Amino acid sequence: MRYFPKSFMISLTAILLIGTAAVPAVYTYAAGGAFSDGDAVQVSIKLFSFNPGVLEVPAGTTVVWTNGDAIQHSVTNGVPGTPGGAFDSGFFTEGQTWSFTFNEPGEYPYFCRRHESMTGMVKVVPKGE
Amino acid sequence: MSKVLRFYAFLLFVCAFSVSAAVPGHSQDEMDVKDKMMDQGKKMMCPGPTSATSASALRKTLNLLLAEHVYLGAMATNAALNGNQKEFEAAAAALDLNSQALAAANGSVYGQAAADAFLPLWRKHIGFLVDYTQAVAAGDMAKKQKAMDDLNAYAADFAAFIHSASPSLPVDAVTALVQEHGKTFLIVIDDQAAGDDAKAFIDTRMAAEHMQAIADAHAEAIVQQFPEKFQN
Repeated sequence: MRYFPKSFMISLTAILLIGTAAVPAVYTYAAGGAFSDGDAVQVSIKLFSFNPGVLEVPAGTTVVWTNGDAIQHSVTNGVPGTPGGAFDSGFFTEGQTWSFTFNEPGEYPYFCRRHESMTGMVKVVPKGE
Repeated sequence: MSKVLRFYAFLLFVCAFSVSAAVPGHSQDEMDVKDKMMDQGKKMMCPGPTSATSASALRKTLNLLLAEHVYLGAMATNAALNGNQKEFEAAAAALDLNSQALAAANGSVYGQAAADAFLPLWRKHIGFLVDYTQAVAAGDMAKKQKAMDDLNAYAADFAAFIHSASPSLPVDAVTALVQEHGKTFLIVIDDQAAGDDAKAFIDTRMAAEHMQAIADAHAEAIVQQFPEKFQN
């Protein structure tokens, strides 16, 4: 095998990983019984990404987004270029929060209007599922 | 064999090992073992100061990639302004490899999520530079102004990202540095559009040198933030 410096191999691996790491893990609140009505689910906005990126919650859940970046972000329903209209936080900045209660089951993709590479998803399932 | 002869025999062994380690054709496992033995040998024979620290490697990498960003960018804009489509595409492809390497370098410190967020953000300002180049080529003053405004606004976004990653880097200072990067690069594009090659190359050097201010500050902040990663 041809020898490559360690630093090159690490960089190459990191570059290849970028292409495979785009699928976020689903964060599920619906199962397990630890979740009760009235609980708010937190999503942090940090380093220009929503965390968790994909959230599954029962209908009636309030999701709270907290901006940890020193710049304005929005939580806007839809996909970049095609807003959905179900919700739009408007811009809010570092340390501020915005919340929305999801009453209807369905899939709610969202993005930041200022940074369209920032996307997330809330999957709302019927209560009791 | 006297002690002196044994010492020189050992020294010869270490030197021979150093040479063989640099020769291609070894597996990674073999190289790992040799790296360890080399380190031990160096410690025994050369206990003094060394520039081969992980902190200096980080600083070197950031400086190299950010300077490369300017040079490849200048090649791309020059090719575009001269109507050399094939050359532009090749330069743009290399420039994007540079962007990916920068994302990987950030990811190696801040994590994969940060690398994923960095790449589209970084590519965005390259898009604004392309907009500016197209506007200059077309003599479209409104589009040129919009590209400048976008670049200025972008600086705040990029600074916010860097501040989130390394809170010791103030948003205002990073914003100013990134705005200066935009300005120095726009001067290069203007030179190229005017056909002033001599000034374009001098200003390209200046634009690349400016990146050192960003790279050095960023490297220092990272090392201070993650001392456990930079012990040697």
